[in-house]
Amino acid sequence: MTVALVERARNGDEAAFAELVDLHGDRCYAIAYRILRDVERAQDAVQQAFLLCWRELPKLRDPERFGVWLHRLLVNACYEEYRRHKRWTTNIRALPLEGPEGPDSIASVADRHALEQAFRELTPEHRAVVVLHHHVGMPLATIAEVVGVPLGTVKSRLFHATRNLRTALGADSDIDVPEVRPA
Amino acid sequence: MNDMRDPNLIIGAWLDEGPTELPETTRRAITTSVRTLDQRRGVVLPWGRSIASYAQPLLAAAAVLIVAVAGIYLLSPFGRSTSVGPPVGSPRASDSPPANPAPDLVGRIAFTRYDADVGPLGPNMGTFTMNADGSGEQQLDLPFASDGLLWSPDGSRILLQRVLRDGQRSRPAVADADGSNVEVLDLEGAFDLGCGAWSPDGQRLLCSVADVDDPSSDGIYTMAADGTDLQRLTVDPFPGVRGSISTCLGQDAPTDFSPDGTQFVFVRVMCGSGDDPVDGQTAEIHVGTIGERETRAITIPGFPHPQLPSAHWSPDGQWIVFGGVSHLLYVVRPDGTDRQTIQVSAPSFDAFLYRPDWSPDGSRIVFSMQLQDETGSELYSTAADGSDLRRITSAPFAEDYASWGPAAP
Repeated sequence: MTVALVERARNGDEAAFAELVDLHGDRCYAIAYRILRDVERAQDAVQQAFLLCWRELPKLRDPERFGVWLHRLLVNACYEEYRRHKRWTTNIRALPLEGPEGPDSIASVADRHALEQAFRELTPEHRAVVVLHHHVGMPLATIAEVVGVPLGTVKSRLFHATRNLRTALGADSDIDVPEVRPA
Repeated sequence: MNDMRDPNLIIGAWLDEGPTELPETTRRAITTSVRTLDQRRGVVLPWGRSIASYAQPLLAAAAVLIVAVAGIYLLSPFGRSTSVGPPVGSPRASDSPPANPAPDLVGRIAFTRYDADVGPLGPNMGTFTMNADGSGEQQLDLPFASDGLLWSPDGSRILLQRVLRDGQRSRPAVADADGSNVEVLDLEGAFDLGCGAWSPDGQRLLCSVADVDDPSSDGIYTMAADGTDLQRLTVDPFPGVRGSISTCLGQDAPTDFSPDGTQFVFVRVMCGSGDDPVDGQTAEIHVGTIGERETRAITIPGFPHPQLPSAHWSPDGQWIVFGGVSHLLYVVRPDGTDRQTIQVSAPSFDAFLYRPDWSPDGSRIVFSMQLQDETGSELYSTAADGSDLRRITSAPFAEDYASWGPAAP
């Protein structure tokens, strides 16, 4: 279905493109919000990504790759949005005391606060890898394609970011870097 | 710690919180805005012409001006520099070869560039070659993306370590040095096959087989460079692990033959456990002898970044260089003794140096360096003692998988 819509949209069919926005908009927004931690900037990033998508769509050689390509545009838009507002501000959206997921949520209020703080310390590049891996469940090789870095860099970023988040939760990272001593 | 306090579950649950529906106002803003955007041509101005249509004559005029200025400059005394490479941190000055390259900068470096296309729409992994000082860059016109490439010992051929094709298992490929005559070594079998080195005579390849669902075949192999005569060298005792969060292949990753072809070096990856076996995997560098199943570890257990396997034998056979640990590179004797650091003057302690390879004469080392505040890794070279650090690439993309070979015959 997506492939047919992509082919129509890249021939200038605005209705087909609107359907693509309907199909992928929610997911893109969810990703952007989790990277940027701000609803308005997430909306801006999604809008920028889709407008670039529309403009560049005729050059997309393989419609089957639309998903990966769109995610790339989105992640890059998030990077730009982050840097445009480099001074990080707190999202003032009020959370209920028991948390948005109710008392059954695994993450306590303290956990969420700790994670929020630790996540803000991460670069947008590290955030993107964490979100694509832990939230979207994207394979690491696909993440490498989306963010445009080697697979090893993705794994390195995930390693460091996850360790920081685990540390914020008070969990010991058991992957200490051993010191290699010169002879 | 019980499951309810599993930090990975908590992180996942926290990330799942938050809005998931694109607001209708944003949706409408997007679909309304596309009507003012002309595909391919960019923003349409009120009188019907695109901004891009004005750019073309302006660019042509600018090109004429640049050529004129460059001509005047080259005829002047200032245009006769014989510098062989930019200092660290400076952009590459020119793509033209230096007039008198230093002897240790002879040869060509093959590498992979990510986000190679000018636009966001082409293949996002490009295969390039360049002179050892970064000049003379050329992109190879290959039908496949590959996770890395290696020069054959005489520089006449290249090995694409793992060709990436949608929906198919990875396979290596070989091609002529200019990227022509690509031949995928398409062995039958539901496993992933990748190769990491040429034998010194250029006749054979050092490869690995990995199949997370049937690890009985996992290990290091060698085969002829035409894809025939596959022979097993090791049995991987640490198979892959499939978790609910990630899948760890846990493979033995082949990295080099010894210069006399009797031994080989590889990285053995050991997966973590639980839902996220990638998070917790470790590795050791091993050396094996052709014809013997037993191998020996030459690094301490727990080598922490198995995702960056690389270990290369020096041309004189005396050292094996590796990285992927910190802001340093390391050399160790092939028997595991005399491990030393190469004190590279990295710009910061946050730098991460990995995937080193020797120059053909062994006097220098090329490697990838990722700085904390840069989006992608860049390629650098250093003298084998850590002095004379030179930045080779400076494009706004990630570059990796450097292979330093002789100039093509």
